[in-house]
Amino acid sequence: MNAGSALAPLLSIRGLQTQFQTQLGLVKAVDGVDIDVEPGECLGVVGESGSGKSVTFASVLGLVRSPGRIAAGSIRFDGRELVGLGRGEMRRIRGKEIAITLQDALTSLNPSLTVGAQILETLREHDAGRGARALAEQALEIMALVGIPAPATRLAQYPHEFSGGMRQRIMLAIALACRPRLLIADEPTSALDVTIQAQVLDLLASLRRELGMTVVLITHDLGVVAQYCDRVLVMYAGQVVEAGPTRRVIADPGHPYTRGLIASIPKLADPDFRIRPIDGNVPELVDLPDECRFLGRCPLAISACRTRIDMRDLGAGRQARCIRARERQ
Amino acid sequence: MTAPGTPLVEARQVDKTYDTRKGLFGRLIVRRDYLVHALNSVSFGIARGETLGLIGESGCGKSTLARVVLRLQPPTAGQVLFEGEDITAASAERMKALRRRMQIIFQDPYASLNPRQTVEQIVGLPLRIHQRATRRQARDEVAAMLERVGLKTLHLNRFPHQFSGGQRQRIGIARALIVKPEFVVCDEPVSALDVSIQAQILHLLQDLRRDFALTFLFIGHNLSVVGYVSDRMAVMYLGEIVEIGAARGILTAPAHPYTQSLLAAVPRLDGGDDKPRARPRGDPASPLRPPPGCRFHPRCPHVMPVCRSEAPRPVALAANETHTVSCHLYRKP
Repeated sequence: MNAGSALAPLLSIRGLQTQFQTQLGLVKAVDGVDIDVEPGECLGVVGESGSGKSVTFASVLGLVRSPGRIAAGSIRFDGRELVGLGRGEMRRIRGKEIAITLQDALTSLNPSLTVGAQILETLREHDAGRGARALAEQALEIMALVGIPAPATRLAQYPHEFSGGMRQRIMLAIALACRPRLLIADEPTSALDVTIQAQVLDLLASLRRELGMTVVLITHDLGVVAQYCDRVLVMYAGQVVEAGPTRRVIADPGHPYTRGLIASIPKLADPDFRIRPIDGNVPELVDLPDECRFLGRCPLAISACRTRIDMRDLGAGRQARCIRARERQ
Repeated sequence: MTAPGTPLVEARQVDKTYDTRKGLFGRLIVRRDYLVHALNSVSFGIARGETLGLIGESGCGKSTLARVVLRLQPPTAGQVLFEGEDITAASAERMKALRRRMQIIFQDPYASLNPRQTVEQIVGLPLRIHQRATRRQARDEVAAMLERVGLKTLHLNRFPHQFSGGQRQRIGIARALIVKPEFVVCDEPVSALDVSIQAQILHLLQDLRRDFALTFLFIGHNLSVVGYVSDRMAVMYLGEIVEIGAARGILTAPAHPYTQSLLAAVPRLDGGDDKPRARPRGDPASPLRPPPGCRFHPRCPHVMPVCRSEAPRPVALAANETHTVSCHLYRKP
């Protein structure tokens, strides 16, 4: 809800509920998530395991499988409702309009097909009318775009013949093959070494500028968000707990969870900084009461937190799901 | 007693190569590169009570070094000393006695605990091996240790799958510390954990280190985490230590071009200065075929002709004698 923005959001998620029926009970993996992604922005989505960040965007792409289902909510892409779309219609959007890259490039790529075949597969799916030669040339172009040296030779090779960083570039190449308007990058560099991570993220940033793409970067690393994203959403236990411009959120977090996360990370620039961990664990997402999810771990908790807490506007494009957020401003 | 100033743990020019040929047929097939050069002339000492951080990227030999230091694997050449005693040639009986004093905490709390054993059995096993404790004695000690690492007595009869990742890592820590070791290798102990849980475990390790007067070799790939816990740090690249010195010095004034690029590559919370930063080019070379000369030279932004042919020797920095770096840029004329 960026009040000052004149443009309609490219992606608008409202009241999303994605649930999994398990033996232990109903798991509300995503519980009432509202997200707007503005055209051209790079939005960072931060959260720990089980925060719902990946499931939220799997829901956007219609990738939630049984026993999971979207129980409620709306997902609009460029004004078009995606919830309830048929498989065929979703396939036309997926890859062409919205693409995703996954964390683990080795298990996400098909080991028995050459890299070229996998890029062509995507191109053919959406550009069936074009000749083989034109498609092959386009594949070459994309390989060069993502910075793979000797693309002609590399196209004929299999995923295992590439290093981790190169495989992540191939994932990007496949995702970008049809020039999607929205790229969802789900932990694109978490499996990579830090020097390779920097190369891949730099590439992603420059591609975004060149292609005018909108990017959602899902990560557990606040540092990555600080470096590459204009705006950040912090998720916790299936809910968005804080949203705002990255620098402001990091400099002056509104939600106690965000504050706790930042205090948990050792600072390279300040060797005297002592970390202050958040006590306790993330709650089980089964049969949660309707109250603040962070209650059990929060240093600011009061009895008024034992009720349903909504996002509150903090001004300057910032929001937090905390009744005491304003006190700490 | 050993002489004062003797490090508790010392590695002297340790080499480790692995033969990748399998079976008789593997040996008969002639191949050029079948030796993995995992460690090459690695030397360092860790003083009693000190934490030495060991940082490096995947495949640089960090975990091999951990295994060789604990003699879980014999080195191919060189020596490992514990309290001045060469343990590379120690007998099995002698090693068993020493093993009580050196323990390890593993990276993956899911893979390093036996899923069929209760917490009591897992944490109690070292006691039963090293102190021949009875079940009852062991139980009391295990319960006390669980409390110490932030678990409860009621957890004694539970199985690993009933715990979260952070709690499992606490079990692994309890198992390592139950025999009151002096030296503990922490092999990426927080890498598999979420940020908030990582901070809890780092805090716990710091407390335990102080309370039990532990000496740590702390291995990791996250510079801010390793820098946070270490007194001194060693930076590894392709099986070699390229730089070693006080953690503060390495983090604030890194000397080796590899360390510099590692530091520059870490995404900073403050967003950095937006300037395009120098990145090392390409990927690390394979340890099957390490480059000649300096092993970092194909990726180094400061590469000189000498780097391609001659391996640099460690030199102490002029500004700080305890900070050494293996790089031709710092060669004394």
